[in-house]
Amino acid sequence: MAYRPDPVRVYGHWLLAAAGLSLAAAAIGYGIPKVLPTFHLDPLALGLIYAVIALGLNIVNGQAGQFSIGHAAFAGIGAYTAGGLSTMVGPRLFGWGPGMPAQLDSPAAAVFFMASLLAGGLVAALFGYLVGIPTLRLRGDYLAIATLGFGEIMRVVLDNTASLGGPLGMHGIPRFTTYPVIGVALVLTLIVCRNIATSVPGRCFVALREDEIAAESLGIATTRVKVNAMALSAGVAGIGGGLLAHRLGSYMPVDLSWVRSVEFVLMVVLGGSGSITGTVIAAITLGMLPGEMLQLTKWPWLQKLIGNKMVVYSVLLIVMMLVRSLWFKGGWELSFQWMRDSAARLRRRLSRREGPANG
Amino acid sequence: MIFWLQQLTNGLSLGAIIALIALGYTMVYGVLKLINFAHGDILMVGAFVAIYAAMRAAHYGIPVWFPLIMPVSMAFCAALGVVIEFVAYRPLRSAPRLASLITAIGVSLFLESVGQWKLGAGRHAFPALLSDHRIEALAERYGFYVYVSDLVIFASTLLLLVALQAIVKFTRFGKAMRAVSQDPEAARLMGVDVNRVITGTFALGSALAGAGGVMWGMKFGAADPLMGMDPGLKAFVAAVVGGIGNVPGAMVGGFIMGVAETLVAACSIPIGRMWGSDLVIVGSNYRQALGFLILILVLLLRPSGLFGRHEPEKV
Amino acid sequence: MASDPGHLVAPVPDAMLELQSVSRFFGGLAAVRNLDMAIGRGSIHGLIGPNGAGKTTVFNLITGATPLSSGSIRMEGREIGHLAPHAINRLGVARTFQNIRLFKGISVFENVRTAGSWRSGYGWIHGLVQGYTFHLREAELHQRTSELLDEFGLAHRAKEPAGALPYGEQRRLEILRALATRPKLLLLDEPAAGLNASETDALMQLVERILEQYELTILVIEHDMRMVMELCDTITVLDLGEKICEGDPAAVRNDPLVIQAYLGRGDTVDASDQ
Repeated sequence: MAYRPDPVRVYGHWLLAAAGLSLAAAAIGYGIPKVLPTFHLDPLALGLIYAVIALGLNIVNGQAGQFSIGHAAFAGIGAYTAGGLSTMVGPRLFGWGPGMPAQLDSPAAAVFFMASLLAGGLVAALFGYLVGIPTLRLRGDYLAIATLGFGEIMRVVLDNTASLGGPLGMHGIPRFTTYPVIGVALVLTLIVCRNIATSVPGRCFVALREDEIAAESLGIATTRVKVNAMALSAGVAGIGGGLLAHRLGSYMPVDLSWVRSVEFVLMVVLGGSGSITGTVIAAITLGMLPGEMLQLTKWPWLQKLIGNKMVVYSVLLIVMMLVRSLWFKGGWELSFQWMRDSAARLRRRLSRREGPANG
Repeated sequence: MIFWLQQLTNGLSLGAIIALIALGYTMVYGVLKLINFAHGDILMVGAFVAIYAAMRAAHYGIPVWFPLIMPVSMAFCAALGVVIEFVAYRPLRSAPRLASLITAIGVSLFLESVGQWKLGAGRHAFPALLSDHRIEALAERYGFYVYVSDLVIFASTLLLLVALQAIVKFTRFGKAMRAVSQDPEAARLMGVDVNRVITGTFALGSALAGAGGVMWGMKFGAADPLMGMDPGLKAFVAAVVGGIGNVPGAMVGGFIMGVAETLVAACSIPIGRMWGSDLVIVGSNYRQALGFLILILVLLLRPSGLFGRHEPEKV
Repeated sequence: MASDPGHLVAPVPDAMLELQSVSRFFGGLAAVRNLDMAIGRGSIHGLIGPNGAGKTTVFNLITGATPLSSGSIRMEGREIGHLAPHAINRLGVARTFQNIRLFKGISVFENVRTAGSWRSGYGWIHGLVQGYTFHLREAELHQRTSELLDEFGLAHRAKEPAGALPYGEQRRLEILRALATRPKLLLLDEPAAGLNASETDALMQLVERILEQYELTILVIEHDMRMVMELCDTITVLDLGEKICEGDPAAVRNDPLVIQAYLGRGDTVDASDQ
């Protein structure tokens, strides 16, 4: 009774998917800069990098339902690690300096950049592990406070570490994060998130979120799953942080504060906790908003509002939670299944209208 | 010897204020099972209301008196607390607890960001509501500096604490509050108007936060839009240490936190002198991180605090 | 043939599960005290008693949801008293809950598929890459899940959220979900609670069919005496945390201690009372 899927079909689809995704990465990386007017490029780049970080948060908050308000700290850890490698190790390896500015010109430099991003992700994931193991035993609201505390502790530690720049942070980070890099990173992150969600680990997250005790009784090692979710989440955020550092050229301890973490939480919540598509859209929107708004010099009150964007964000957060019944948890996804279902629904509705006439 | 006595009195007066704020946290948690993240920011509002009231009073020639200004702050904060509960927390009563926590964070951020927007991030001078006098007799004979303002703060805080205990223990409202914190459904079935109890609890807790804000401003002479974080965090730790939801526990926790902080700061001076004075400066920088560290440790090691009850989930 | 409280009627030769001197204290309160129980392989064993007798606590002890205060629990000879619930499930113990703990937000199919997931035997890497092994295992899982739902009559509900099901079907779904983990020992906690007479009949048929299809041992907590008397081979009676009687249905029905325990709370054990 063994049902064996046809290897040719499976591998064929896999290759097709790989080709399509590479195309998407190329489209983002090379298409967007060609098509979009220049003054949109910077805000959009920021939005896309935020999408990477927010997708990381979505894994632990949205999918696994473990509420963490410390993600800006994980991103920051990744940023400082990758940035540190670029500013301290890079110059020695490649001779970067005032005479020869840092460029992503050679394959070696590209590999170095990738390696430093990965290192950032790994260090962040390690912290995710270390933080997760004790705190994931705590109940929901206490877990949130504990992760917030961790974020603040990291911020204060970095604030007081002179060798990493102290309160002024790290500067002079080479701007390696160009659109092609963003394209690849975003597509890879989306693959990771989607594949996790549609396989056994993803199902364990959902079970964990729905009813932890029942999940445990069905063979799911809930604590291990939670910690893994936290570690993966932190790792993705760390890579995003590294990307951010190499886009802005600097990173400061204040970027690890809980207020920044709440921004990411807002992105996940706005997108409908658990939805990958929603998170990306929300992240891009929120990430682009300040930059875009600054272009509109027409209304000074709007400018002032953007300068105090947290006023708007906080109201948005409250309003979102109040209308949250409209967004169901982990619900809507842009997927082929949804498209097929919608087409079927549409067909049914059309045929029903003709039905009574045919009797 | 006098030195330690001095630190003890300083610690007790600080602890009294923290206890006051911790009570607000613990009462709201007891009744709603919600950590009111915005509590520290209500404190900030209370401080600024006091500044504003003092300005207006001086403008109209009314004496700027502590017993006059403080009730104004308390009343305003009570009203603010009621409004916040009605707008942001009540609609989410039946939602998972996390939703209310997110909203509470939203409210907190809102208050802080509006404060920064309208008042600027800098510090504002807090008016002197009490004289600067100290008890000269003790100062001259023993070098023991006890300020009148500290005494007044301590006394009024104690008064408020006692009043609150009286309300909780001896009035019908207090009984209703206790009933709702144990079992809201059963309380409703017994004829308790749960909504009014919750509103009243919020009003009380926020009034205490307002009072705490005024006293904090008096003690440290300044107020700024982000001032709520520090006392808020300390008071929250105090409430958790005492057992969150437990009223006497919050008071005890507050005093413990106040005395501990003062003693640690005091100890770092001689230590700093031994290792070089940098440590004292570093100490104050790390203080907020230390507060969080203590909180995390308490949550991990003894989440039910000193007096709280551990409630395991029924399978 | 009344039995000696606290001792087994006869030594059970091929015990699937053995409890020895098991106790569970909550502070000063003994939820379960000095319980000895053995469940024979392939049998249906009933666990009854008035409310508060400690029956669900026994389930929690067996599945590791609550730690043992003292005593030992052995499954097929192997000590499991100290293991975590997920480890115990992986050894072959599955349960349903008194207050139905379904994953209400996701579909019926997903509920069962999630339960069967760990048996798929692929880890993170395959999940990430999603190559041939992934698709193969997923297809097998899909097949197993469909078959389970088809076999026991919930296929027509497959896409609906579990929370939307009528009560009786929710109970059935919970049993199927437990079955998806391919247990050797199935613990049912008041599966007939809230069901009317015909629904209870359907449930009994379901249990019998499960026994036909799979090699299982079943331990069931129930208050519905008709079901207990008809289904079970052996019944253990608890009262206030202690075993007061054990034996086959006939013996238990007529045991004076049992009748007293129930009558004292206004229930009767008479099976004709339906």
